Amino acid sequence: VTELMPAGNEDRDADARFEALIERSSLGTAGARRIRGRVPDAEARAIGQLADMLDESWRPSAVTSQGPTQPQTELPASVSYDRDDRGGAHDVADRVREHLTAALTLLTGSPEVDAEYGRLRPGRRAVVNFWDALTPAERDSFRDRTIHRMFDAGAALMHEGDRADRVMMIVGGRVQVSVDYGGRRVIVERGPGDLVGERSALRVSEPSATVIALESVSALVVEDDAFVDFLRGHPRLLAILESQTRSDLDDTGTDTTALAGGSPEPALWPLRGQNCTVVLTDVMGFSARYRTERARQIIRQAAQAMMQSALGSPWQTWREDRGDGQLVIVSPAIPTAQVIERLLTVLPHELKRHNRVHRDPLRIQLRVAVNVGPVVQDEHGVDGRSIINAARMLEARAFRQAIASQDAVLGIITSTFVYDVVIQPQDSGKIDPRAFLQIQASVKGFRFPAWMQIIAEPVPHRALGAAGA
Amino acid sequence: VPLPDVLCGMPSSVDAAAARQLEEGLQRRMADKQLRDELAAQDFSGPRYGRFQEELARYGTAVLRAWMYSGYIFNLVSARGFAIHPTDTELEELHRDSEVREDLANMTVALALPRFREHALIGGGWRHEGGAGLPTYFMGSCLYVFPNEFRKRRVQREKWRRQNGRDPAITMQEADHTSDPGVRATGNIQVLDHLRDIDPRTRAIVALTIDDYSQEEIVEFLAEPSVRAVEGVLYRWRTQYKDRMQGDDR
Repeated sequence: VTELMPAGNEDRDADARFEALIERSSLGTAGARRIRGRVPDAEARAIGQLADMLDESWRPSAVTSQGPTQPQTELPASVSYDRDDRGGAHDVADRVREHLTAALTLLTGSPEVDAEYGRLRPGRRAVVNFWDALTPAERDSFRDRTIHRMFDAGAALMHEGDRADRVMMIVGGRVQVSVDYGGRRVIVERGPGDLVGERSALRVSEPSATVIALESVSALVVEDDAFVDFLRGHPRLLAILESQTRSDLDDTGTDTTALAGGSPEPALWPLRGQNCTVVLTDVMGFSARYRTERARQIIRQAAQAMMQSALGSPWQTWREDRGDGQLVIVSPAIPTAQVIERLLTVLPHELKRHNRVHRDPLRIQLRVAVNVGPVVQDEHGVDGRSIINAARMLEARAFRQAIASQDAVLGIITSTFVYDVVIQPQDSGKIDPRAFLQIQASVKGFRFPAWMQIIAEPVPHRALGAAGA
Repeated sequence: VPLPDVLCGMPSSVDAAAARQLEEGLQRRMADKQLRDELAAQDFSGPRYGRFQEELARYGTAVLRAWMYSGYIFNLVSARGFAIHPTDTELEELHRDSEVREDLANMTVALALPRFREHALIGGGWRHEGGAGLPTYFMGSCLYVFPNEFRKRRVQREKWRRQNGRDPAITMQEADHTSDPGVRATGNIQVLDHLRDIDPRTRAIVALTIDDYSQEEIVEFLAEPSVRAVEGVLYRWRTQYKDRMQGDDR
């Protein structure tokens, strides 16, 4: 220790001499000092970080596949896969763990799962660094579309539930991406060179996530349309983003193969009569004569992507493609209000975006029925009275006529029970009970009341709040 | 050159204050050289270079923001052969919107810093016996970057304008902000309107004074010879402004 002391003092003295030299230089005049004082430390550091990153020789020295250098924290127990006895669920947990190990080994060359505890190593980071993967020309092209923004520690860069309209690349600092999934669940931490919000821009996912600055963060921000435009010019980058997305899904402990049906949540799936939210969709005039086979194929893919965007992973859902629509059974762990909120905020914008680009015969008008009730599941699929009733609601003539007469992009119909229990008590602003109209439905001899909302134009998402992930 | 020799060669009309100013300038230039040499010994990298870069970024960002606020930056880039021709709307936006100034300044400085390191420091472009200190030379680097960044922003802004034009929420938010009496009053735009007819130097000095920059800072921003020179410009402008207002009243 005594040997180290003088060295420490020498360093301090040298630092002090250097500081004094700066003040003696042209940066130290009375005017220059006052000018420098106008820019806070964090901002000056952020500009320095941005300069380092824009320098062609930049490499993500602070970013490794092993995670950040700060003290690591445990992920919430809900996303770890202990070797604890879970009874009949044990096999499923093992299968998920194997999948995780294989996927991470594939991506990083070394398993990130602790062999002894079978637990995802905490603080893992995105494996593929976006900025590092870009060529100098691609970096210029990306940067040209961005603006630089700073966020204080604790600030939200994006809010879950809000419509995403921008992508951000972290320049300095770290952020935490999390979702509300019956409690807040951390998906991933991201740092310099990583993207956030890219999945929404690509419409390959999912409900948005909340992105919080863990420290002072600076970022390059790009509007989602500009980001898509950038990728259109550099298609090879899609593979990189796909890899990053896959890495995040693995980080949540979600088996990506389970998204098409089933779930890694052993306690909930297969369903044995739990009360689930049932969502049934139908594209108006899907099989009309003026639509070619190719047009139907494009519409089907677009409609699936929209539903994935609204209700995709990390929510646990069971999906069935019904040709002109989809049946989606949402995990009983997700509140029905959250499902309706997502449908009302995401689908209108997705439909608007699609219809802005495509005209007839590719234009989409979507009918959506939402119901709640017990659902059972076996090897052939899902069943339940709530699904049958949702199908009846979807066919209600008054509902179909309302969409057609208003040339609406979207119509949502719900049972009286859903309206009374879920929609009517809402005061969040995102679900407006007054926008729903009661109708008397008549389908194949059955008469029943229902509530519908017809959306001719999307609710301006900026009126609903800020950007989302 | 030894300082006494320099001072001996000066004409007797140069007063003591100017001599002190010259002496300080020379000493600072020597310290600039020492600073460059120390950074060179560490290969213009590492924590010390990081510290220097941070202070340079601080200086550069604040100066660019002030130049944009006053519109003076367009005179400077024009003098270097870059014709940007900002519209009245663009000038007004730069004057009014600190976020726009911040964004442009940060990006300009971030791009200029690696260039400055490469060309001015490693490449030897900056020389202590030349006409500029390190920060002034750095601002020169920024002025070569700025026109490109401004043009890119102009293109991007146009794209967003077209895109946002289809979104009623955004159109409503951005509608006619210049007609907001609060904005006009607080921004001193009325005073600045009177500056349109006067020379760019005076316009910049008055605009920066209105925005509470000190005269010492204005000396730095505009490379004025001294605080007294700034005071003189302000005095002459006030007199002319008063005469003009009285003339209008009559």
